[in-house]
Amino acid sequence: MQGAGEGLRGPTVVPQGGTIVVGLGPNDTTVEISQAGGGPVTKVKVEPGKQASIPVPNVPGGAVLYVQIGTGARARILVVEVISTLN
Amino acid sequence: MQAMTMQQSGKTIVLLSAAICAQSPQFLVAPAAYTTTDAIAYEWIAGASRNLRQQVLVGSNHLTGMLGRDILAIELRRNAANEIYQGGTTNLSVTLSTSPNQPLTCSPTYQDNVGLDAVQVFVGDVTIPTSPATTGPVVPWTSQNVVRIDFTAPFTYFGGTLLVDIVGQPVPGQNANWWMADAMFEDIEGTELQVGPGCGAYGGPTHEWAFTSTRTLLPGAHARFWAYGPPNGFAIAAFGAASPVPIPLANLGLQAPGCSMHLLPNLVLATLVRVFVPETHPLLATHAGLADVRVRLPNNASMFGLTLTTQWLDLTQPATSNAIQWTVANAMPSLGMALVEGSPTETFGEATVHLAPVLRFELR
Repeated sequence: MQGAGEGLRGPTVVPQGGTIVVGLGPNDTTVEISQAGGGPVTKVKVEPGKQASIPVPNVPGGAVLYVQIGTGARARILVVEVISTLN
Repeated sequence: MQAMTMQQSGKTIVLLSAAICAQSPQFLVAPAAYTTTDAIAYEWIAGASRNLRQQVLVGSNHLTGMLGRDILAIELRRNAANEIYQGGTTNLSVTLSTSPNQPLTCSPTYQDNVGLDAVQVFVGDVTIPTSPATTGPVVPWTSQNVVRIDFTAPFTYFGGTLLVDIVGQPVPGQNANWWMADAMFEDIEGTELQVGPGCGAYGGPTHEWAFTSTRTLLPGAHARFWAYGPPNGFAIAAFGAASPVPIPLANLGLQAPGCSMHLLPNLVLATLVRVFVPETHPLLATHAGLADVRVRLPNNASMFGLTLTTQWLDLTQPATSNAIQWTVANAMPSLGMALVEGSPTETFGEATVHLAPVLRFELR
């Protein structure tokens, strides 16, 4: 499933150990990822095709991640749920 | 009726040709390399789904064929992609002027880029057509592939950097959520290297709570450095030369066990005080505050390969960040265009000199 909210597009569900590939309409040069509720932030640069590939951090299944571009009034966030790969 | 002489016949042909030329639309594309073929990147359309201000600074080297002529319209061509772009409507205000800045001296403050000869050339709704999938590399300027803005007042170009200043607002119920205009992205960047670990409560187990963006480490760009910390707390960003050995903060009189300075104290070239501004987005209410620094890098060759190290000091905890040694790209951006975009409610946007939409101007 793809979210396409307002200039930031990517999957809304990803498996543990996977990669989140997002496309972005604005001219941001990095994409940041964090866990819902806080915690450390990691960043990934935007590639020439206006995409960024973000390795899913080591979080438990069911964790919710925020993929963010911009700050303040420019901020756009894609909410991504990590699903467990265990059967 | 007498037959026309050779001379009369020649004159008629010349006059007819001139009349046809005068009536045929004439176009100029910037950058010209993408007159018919798709460029590598894309940019969203102002107001297609969100309030947005986009300033495009077009360098005079792209516009020599336009000198002394009236611009009657601007077009944005869709990006090549194997998907249908659903259409919609955007409400635009478009102002053209001769910017006092060049693309590589552009300002993130919108007003600084606006020239004294500013003319509002369009206000109103613009149709974003539903566009069929097209994989390129040639993408024709057909009505289905183009967002066209017909000016209500022409703008005469007399040289210099042309500023296309667009403010877009969404039209309720008519959003085009993913209609991307073709854009050029120059793949040029600086480098970064972590030269010392951070400490304190932020940045997870590695205490990495300071960052830079290598795509902003370009001559003429606005280099970005940022850090996360306690909301509303104060921070200092220090720029200088890396120390070969960490210097415990205790040696500098600060009680912060496990925290070290990674800059040579006698080679700190600049310090800037910032606040960790709380995020305003509701989803980020429990997140750290953000401190942000932009440094304009001069657009000259003296910047090539310039290396410095940046480290932050969080005054609340206190704690030091990871130290980042960064190097400016070893070449000048050559796009000849710049893009400043952001919220129309703010006075400034994000300025980039490596990315800009492909624009087609209709001329008279």
